[in-house]
Amino acid sequence: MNKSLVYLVRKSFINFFKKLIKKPLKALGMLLLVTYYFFIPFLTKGVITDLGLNTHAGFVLIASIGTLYLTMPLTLTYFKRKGVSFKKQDINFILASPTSPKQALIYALSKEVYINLAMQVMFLMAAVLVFTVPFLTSIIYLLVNIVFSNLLSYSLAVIMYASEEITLKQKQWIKRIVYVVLAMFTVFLMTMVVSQTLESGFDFAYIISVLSSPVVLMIPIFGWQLGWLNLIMLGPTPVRLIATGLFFASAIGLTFYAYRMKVSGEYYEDALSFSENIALLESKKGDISLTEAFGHKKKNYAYKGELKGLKSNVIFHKQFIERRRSKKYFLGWSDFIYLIAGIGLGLTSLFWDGFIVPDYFLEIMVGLSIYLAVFFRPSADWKSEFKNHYLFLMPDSPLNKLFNASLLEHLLTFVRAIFLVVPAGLLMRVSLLEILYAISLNVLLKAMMTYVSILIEAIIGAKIGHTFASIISMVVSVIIMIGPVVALFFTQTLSTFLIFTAISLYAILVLFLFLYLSSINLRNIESLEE
Amino acid sequence: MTTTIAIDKVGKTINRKEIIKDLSLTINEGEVLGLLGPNGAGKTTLIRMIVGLIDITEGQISVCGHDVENEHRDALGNIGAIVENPEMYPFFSGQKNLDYFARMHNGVSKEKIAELVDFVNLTDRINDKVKDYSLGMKQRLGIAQALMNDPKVLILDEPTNGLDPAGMQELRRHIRMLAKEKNVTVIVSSHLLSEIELMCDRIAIIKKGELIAVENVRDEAKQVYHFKVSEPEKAQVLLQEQFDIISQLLEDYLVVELPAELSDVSSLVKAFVNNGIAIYSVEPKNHSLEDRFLHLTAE
Repeated sequence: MNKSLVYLVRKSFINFFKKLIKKPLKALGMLLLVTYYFFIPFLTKGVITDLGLNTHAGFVLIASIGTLYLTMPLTLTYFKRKGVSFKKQDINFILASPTSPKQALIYALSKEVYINLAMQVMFLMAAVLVFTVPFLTSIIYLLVNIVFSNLLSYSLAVIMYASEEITLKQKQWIKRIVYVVLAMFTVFLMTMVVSQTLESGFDFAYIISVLSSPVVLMIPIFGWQLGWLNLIMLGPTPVRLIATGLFFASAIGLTFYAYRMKVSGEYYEDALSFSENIALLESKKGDISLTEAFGHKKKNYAYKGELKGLKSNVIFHKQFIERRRSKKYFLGWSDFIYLIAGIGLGLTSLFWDGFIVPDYFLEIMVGLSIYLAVFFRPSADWKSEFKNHYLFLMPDSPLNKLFNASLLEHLLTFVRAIFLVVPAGLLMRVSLLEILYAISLNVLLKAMMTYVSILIEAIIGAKIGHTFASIISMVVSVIIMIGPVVALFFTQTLSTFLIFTAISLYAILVLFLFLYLSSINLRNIESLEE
Repeated sequence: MTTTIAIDKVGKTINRKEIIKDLSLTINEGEVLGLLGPNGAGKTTLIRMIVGLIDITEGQISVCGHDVENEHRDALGNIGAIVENPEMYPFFSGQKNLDYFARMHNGVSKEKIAELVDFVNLTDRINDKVKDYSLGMKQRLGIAQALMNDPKVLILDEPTNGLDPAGMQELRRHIRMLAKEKNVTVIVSSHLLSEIELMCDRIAIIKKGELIAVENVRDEAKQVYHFKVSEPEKAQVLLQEQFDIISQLLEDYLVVELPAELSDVSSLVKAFVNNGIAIYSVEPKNHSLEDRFLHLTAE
């Protein structure tokens, strides 16, 4: 590779660690995150063992599903010229310099090397410690993957991203064919599983047998890679040997093809567009919607609502108008999931005896509320208000400004709570009072966690690093929720009204405490500056 | 004269770097002050401290008698400001943006908003979405927004950005009117020295976070002459001893600033001649604001 690019890669690597040394809290947060990442297989060990998948065959099953349903579709995104990280600095310094376009592309791909390596090491650990694969077997698998899998994936990336011979129409056809084949295969697999289950009960062996069948192992490239996996884990068969041979040959062949392929920089325009999207997403510092994260632009609807309210209250009305512009009927598809969940809970209680007992309605609803409040981050709409420095010039208290900036979030929580609680309550035939209690507690608990998150993740996080702050926020959230959880243990011995009152008062106290603490720290623009 | 803004030994440190050092300044009612300085001098930081957008590390700032930190809301109630680029909501029309800001201030009438729209010449485009506005139009809308609450103090950071000459003239005229007729105190930060010269009463020059000069814009009391003489060093000593004038020797001529008590340059000429110093030329120089600024901010 070009010497300057090698220098850039080396320096970036060194600077990354130098930056971490200057920010020890961020370094600690990253270390905790990496440790958590490597512990994921162990977190799932219990479930894997209970399901009887802690074997070589179980490893093959999970790796095969990952390859077919994650790796393959993700690789296809290279056709759309997405999936390669180009930043504005790369456009300015590399693409605008006399560097070979192919080497520039390989440089951009090399940024993912560490993540890929970490993932392969994680698989090694999972194989040895969870799936009881012998250490030597796992090491051989890892080393061969590091060489051949990486050669294959990078050469595919270069070919699919930068090829100037495959036309757009051909790319679209390739994608369609792959998705159709995948869909057909999935239908076939599901049919097999369902019919075998109905005949003689569920067993993962059916799925493993299908995924290890010659039909799958002969799928070009990805199937051949699975052939190698099956060979090393389950032993040799003629099909597996052929598939493995084809895997090695395709890795070498495609690498050679990518090496010889002419790349004149046709992809530069797409790289520029991608870098602009990245810059926009980075400027929002993680406060992005799902559609934005996938590179789609937000669609807006015409809505001619009038502004109402005075002082900080006008913020809420403005957000309401914005919401009506982005969601035609105020609610989005994600809000209706709560309705589906509520109906699902009710129907499960009706048709699945003993699984969901109506006597425990309040406990179930409060338990769900706690889960939703702790594990689902609040929307960042309040933050976008505080990013506009004119908000700080408005003569009203920071508490009013923060409360009104987050009021729409509480309104949406209320609507979602109705969607979740009312159908479940009606189907479970609980009293109206219990339904009202459940809705109120859902809103209060979520509002409480909103301000906890604002104080710790947004305000304190701006000073100590968001990764570390997220971990602290999670810990604090769990501690705060001990109160309501303990209260739930007394629902069978004390009156529901007493439990409801206790949890409500607790939630209101904590809510206002964190609202107050957040607002006094939102005096000026420095509060959210990193 | 009533002091509207009192900046008392103010300092600002960010990441252990002193951005503003021990800065003291008072601005009076009805005065238009120009804030000048090279890029990175600390002008915007000072403005941000005055309006309370950032904390003050040391010292105190009060606006209309209210401490900006401890009586923030009372101080803010007297301020209208454009700090950096006006941040409007792009999907709202200009009218709706003004309506939004008007509601924030609790009591700005529709007539007042219409008056401001007319003043900034946006009547024809006020119902268009702000995302379709040019930079100049957004700037004018920002000025309307800053004037909405009839502030006693108007702070404008680079207000002429994006304005055409007619727009600049209109803004200048209105600022002078606000200051003279309504006694509004105006602070204008700009790089356009010609505009500052026309708009302001006084200038405050900041360099590397320190206030290095506060001067009247039209300082007619000072006149500058360039003398080309046979013995410049002797002439310098003579000027100091006889007239208490400290002159500057630049290349081959003396730069002499006449003090107020000397009505013309003839007494200097006479003194040189009487002391045997030959005079080759005497040239009056208009010491423009740009000259003064560059002289004061030179390294």
